[in-house]
Amino acid sequence: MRRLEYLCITQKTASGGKRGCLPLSDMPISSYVLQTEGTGKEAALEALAGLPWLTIGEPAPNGIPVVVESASEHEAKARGDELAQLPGISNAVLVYHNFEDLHECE
Amino acid sequence: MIQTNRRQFLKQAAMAAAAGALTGALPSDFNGLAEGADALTWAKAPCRFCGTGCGVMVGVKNGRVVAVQGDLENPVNRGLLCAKGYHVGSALYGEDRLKEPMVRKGGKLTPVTWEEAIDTVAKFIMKNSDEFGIYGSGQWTIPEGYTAMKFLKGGCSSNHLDPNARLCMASAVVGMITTYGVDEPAGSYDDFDVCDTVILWGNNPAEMHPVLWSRIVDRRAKGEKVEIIDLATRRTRSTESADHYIEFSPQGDLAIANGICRYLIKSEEGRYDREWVENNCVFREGEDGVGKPMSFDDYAAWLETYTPEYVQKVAGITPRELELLASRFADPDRKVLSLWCMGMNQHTRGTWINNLVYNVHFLSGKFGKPGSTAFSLTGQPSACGTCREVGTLAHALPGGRLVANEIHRSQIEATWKLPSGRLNPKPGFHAVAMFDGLQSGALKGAWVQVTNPAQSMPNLNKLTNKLKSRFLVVSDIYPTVTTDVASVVLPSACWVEKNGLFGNSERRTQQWFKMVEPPGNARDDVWQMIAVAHRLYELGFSGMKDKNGKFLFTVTDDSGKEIEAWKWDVYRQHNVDRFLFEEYRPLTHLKQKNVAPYDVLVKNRGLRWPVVEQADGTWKETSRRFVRGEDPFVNPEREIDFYWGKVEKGKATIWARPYQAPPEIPDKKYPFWLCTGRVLEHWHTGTMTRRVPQLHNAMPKAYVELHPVDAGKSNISTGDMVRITSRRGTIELPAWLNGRSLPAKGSVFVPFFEETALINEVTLHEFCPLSKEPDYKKCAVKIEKV
Repeated sequence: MRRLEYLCITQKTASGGKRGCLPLSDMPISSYVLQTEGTGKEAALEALAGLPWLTIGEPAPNGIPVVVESASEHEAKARGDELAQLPGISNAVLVYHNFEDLHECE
Repeated sequence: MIQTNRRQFLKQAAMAAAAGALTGALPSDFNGLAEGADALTWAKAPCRFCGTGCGVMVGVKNGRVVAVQGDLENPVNRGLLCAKGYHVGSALYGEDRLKEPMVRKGGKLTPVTWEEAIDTVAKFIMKNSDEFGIYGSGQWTIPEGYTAMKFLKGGCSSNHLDPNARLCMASAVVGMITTYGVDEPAGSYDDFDVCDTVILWGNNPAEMHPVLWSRIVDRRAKGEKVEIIDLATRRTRSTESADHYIEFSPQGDLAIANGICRYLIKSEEGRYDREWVENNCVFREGEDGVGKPMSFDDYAAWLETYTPEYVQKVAGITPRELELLASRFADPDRKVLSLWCMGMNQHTRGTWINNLVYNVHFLSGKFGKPGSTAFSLTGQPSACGTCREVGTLAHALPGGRLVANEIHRSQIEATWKLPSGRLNPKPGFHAVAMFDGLQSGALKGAWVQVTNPAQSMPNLNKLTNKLKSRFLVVSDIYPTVTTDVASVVLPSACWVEKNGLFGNSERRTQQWFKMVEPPGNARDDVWQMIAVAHRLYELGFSGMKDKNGKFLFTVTDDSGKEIEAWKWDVYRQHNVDRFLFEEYRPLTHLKQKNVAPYDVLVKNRGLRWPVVEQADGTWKETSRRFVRGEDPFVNPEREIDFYWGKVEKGKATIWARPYQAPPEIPDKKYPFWLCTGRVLEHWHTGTMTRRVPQLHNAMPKAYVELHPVDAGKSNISTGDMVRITSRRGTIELPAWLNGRSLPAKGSVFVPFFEETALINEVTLHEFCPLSKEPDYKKCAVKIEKV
């Protein structure tokens, strides 16, 4: 039997060593294509309009392009997940991810 | 270009990429936007995770990968990426990247020079070449697999070479070979765009192949009707988009497929495509890969067992559900696509169920037509390109050749300039046998590259607990449970830190160039093997000499001048990949798997073989094999030509394969089925994705999913620790109820990504007797609240 005590980022390996984490970006910028089904586009646009961290592009018949800005990679991931859960949206598909301005992991 | 700040540049570039993915074209000023004030250089590469083969544009700044975007020009993903693709660039930069070679001294892995590491490995092989294996990977690039093959089969006259692809798609390989005589799918992703019905045979592409899944689901957003039928043993994210969910008992898929065939032939509503079958199929029965002939009438009589009532009894689906499935095949106007991956392959009768799904498509004539095909998805980026096409399997040689075939051996000996008789005719140890051999001492050592067998092999307590006492060389990029028991650890370059080529699920070969330097003293796997080969050559090991006495890996540059590729400073200045690929490429012609020339692949987003040069000098790829008008090797007198048909040229085989109960069935002592698998966030054993904090935080720990009714009976709630015990081992995991998936009553699901909770200590040792692929999807366990 093995057990693992999880820390926030740093993890122990099976042999008791420390698993290295990745450096994080402080300026992650991502874009997604939000796919909608049926009449979902109107509901999606209404829900998206209330998100201050989002830039909405010109909707196309096959989806809505958006840009997500965030202060951290963790926030970026959470916002991507949030998009997929919004009304009318069937899928949030990543298109672009910039993770420069890396600094050392804490 | 508008002068604005960097952030604004990036936002504009990101929006342009997203808009481009929707419209199919990037704005003309995209490159300027993407580069912005501080120029990024962008280059293409396929994603290094799953077998989909998405194209990624990789942005490099100051020698580091700092951005990725879906490659709009790549027809596989058309600009889209999944959550793992999101992090494919950052996966290079974990702080515990292996950067120095290490040799175990006094029980501890100790940093050494490359010279010492290479010398240590070479001297062991010098003394033990017959008892030394190489265990490779579907994540090997094509040149890496080819080099390993040449090293061991050509240099050591040993066939103890097998990849981890044996654990994931060997059943698909043997299924295809026994069905139509040659490996690899006939259809392509093009069929995903035009099918009417998708049937998932124990498959969860929403999590495992998300971009391909969105390619199907996105059609609904455009107003197209695409029916999805999820035939499975548990509800998954794929079920959420399915029109029908049909739950079957483990191993019941064998009976279901036969039940559909019986319906097509026997029922009043059934309709089988008599003309298609007569033109394109023969019938055989038997349990092995050869069988004996039978007539159509014999086959129809044989199917009599598979009445709806019998199927219900062994597979647990109702007659109405069976009819629903069968009716889709009986509809002559409906285009039907079958998809599968590990659910059918990791199966003690994996070859049979592969055969049977082809049967269904053949009997209904739903094969070789746009939108109608049976398509095996792959889990690794080059399981097809490297393991299957190069042939890094214990019985194989490049291009579909076999070690047991004298003509095939002589062809390879000629290419490699080996003395006649150098290649060993006896197949070596397949994956499970290799680790059995390491346990028993039949093998004294092995070199593991790009994989993590101490976590991924089945029945770990029996198969890997003696690895530390063997001579295990491990080439990898991060510490793993396998490096923990290694004698020598070699730090490897990863993905765009080296040149490479992958071959994806749809026969598409994709090339990329090195973009950044590997960290520290990490070096390419190809170089590592050539360096050990040369050290053996220096030590006088005759196998590393060709018939003229020259070094086996004599490499020339573009001008034909020999280079000392075993020297890292020389190797890194040349494109050795190009040399190796061009040596390999003619070998693909034997079975019409013609891959495109390296320089053509440089200019393309991959091409699907067979790729044939046209009169105007262009190179044409093939979307659908065996189809007149598409596959250039089809006999023009035939509409469909299975030109490698094993029984009769031009024809495929419909196999009478019976239902067979699983080797281990839940009983009073072990009353639950256990199914294992992957999750969206983590790729295989998690060695890369668990170093990405976002992915780790999203899925930090393995779990056991139970049906709420079963959990209630044992008073188990989410978060409670549960002990899972089989006849082979036991582990404890937290319970997760009403989570991402919903197992059937009487079954549990556990992902295998976590190295500190090794579910493979519990899983079954048994494998498909034809493909040798283990069954990770069903064994009997008991569960107890801790």
